[in-house]
Amino acid sequence: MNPITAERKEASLGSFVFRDRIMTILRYAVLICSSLATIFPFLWIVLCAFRDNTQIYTMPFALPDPLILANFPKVFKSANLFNTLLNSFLYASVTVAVVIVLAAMVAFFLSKFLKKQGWLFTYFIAGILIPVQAILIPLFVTTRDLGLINTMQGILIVYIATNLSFAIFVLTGFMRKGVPDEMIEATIIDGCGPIRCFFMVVLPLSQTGIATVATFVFLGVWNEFLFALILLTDPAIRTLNLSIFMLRGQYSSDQGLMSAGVLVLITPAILIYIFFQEKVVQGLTAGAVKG
Amino acid sequence: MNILRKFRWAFFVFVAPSFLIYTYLVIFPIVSSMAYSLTKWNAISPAVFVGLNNYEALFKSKDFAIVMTNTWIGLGLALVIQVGFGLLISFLLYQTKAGYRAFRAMAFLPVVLAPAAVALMFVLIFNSDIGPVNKILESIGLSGLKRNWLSDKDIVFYTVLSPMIYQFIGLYVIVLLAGMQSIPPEILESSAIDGAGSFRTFTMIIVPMIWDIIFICVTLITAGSFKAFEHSYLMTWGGPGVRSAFLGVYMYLRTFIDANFGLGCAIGMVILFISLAVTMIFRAVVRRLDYQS
Repeated sequence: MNPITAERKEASLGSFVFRDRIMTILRYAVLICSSLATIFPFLWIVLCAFRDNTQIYTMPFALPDPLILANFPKVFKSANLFNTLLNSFLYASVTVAVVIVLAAMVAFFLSKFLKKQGWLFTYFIAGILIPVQAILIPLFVTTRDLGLINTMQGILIVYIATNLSFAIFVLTGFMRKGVPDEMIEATIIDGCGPIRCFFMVVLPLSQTGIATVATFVFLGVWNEFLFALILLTDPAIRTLNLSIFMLRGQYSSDQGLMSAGVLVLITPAILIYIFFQEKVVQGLTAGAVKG
Repeated sequence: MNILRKFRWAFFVFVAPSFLIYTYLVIFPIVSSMAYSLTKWNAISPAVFVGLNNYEALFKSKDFAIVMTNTWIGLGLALVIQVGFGLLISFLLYQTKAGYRAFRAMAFLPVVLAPAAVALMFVLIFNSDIGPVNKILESIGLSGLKRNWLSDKDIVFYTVLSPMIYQFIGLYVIVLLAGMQSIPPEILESSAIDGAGSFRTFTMIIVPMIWDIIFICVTLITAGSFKAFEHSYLMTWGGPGVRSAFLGVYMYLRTFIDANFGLGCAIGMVILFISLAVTMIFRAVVRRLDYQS
């Protein structure tokens, strides 16, 4: 090769490498800045939850000195937090269990009994597109007229009904591909009825899809606010979400207390996210791309 | 499957329970919402049919005009910021190997939280006495920019909008990132060989190839902004007046504070109509894009 061109090539390659390095540094700089901005509110909450008002007032950005733990017992007491924490767990777990059984049965029927999805599938899926505000008032009136307002059964049935569409959508898609027809045929030929077949074959084979739906529905109920606000006024059966909101009215000047409350509220969701990260991301983005 | 089709009773066992619950508590309420929207009704005494009066009153009301303006401005800003940042961060993540999982996990973190929790975090952050926003402004010598973020009627709307936009950027980062990762690598390799820099690759190849995903994000943001409730209601109760209210909050206030259930249903129908219209437009657009490619 001609030495002059070789030299030129090296020089331009050098400038490319240089440009690449600058781009990489820039890229990381932007990513780190945006990540810091994203977690800043969390850091602030954690910082405040372990300080009292005086500390926050005088040295807003200082670390806790001394470390104050009193906010947590105080918030548990003033907002009846332990009770509402249990309520939220109860609502979320019961909704998940019932929705999964009901939706899996429908999904089994839609994916294996019918030739095509047909209108029944469309009918069930339509619920995903309906904004809650379009059904809020009749639901309030219906639960009231049934005597279910301010009861655990009332909020549960509403949570179950409003989560069915998404669960049916995901599970039908999953079963169509993930549960082989041959296996069902074999069990039926062996003399099993569809109900046994559902519990022995279909449910176990759908575990992955069920896990996605379970995380999505659990988080959805745990984070739900509007139905809880209008259907639950009795403090004893409130959700955690709602009782933390009540703090906003009564204790809004006590920053440490509010932070501790928020921290209690978000910890379970964060734990679920840490342990089931892929499931959570899959569930929430499947919910997003359903349109 | 043919072998299953002989079990005629299967529909009644597998589908009927869900069908009844779903029809009674999701589909039927839409119809009754529609009917109630034509009445004057306080949910206690019998409803009185008033025709389209509620809709007329709604479109004439000043509050509704403010709320709609809020909704459109909020939607515009959310589209620009969420799609803009979504594209930027997902493209940077797409090129990143070291730290990829950590960055991705942090970006998505706010999405999994209760909107109520994020709203309360921002209440603390925007606190005018000891919140970090004012404190930071003070410490960098910009005390002139300090505000009563949660009560000043000229800015409270933007204060309320900020957690709404902040919380869901991560969702669009992940959705767009998934779109980018589904582009066949050969296409990108060939553009790299042609000497296209990353900016050119981004504008000329990646964005055109994920148009449909971008449109999904646009629909989600639009539908979300018409039913937005928690952030505005928790931070300011929609106030002062309806200065920081969105349609969802406005509906709640008219229905459950003023006991005007007929008007509330009419607002619910407006929300339903706009959401469905947006979805239809979105589907038509995506279908056209599919035909073209």
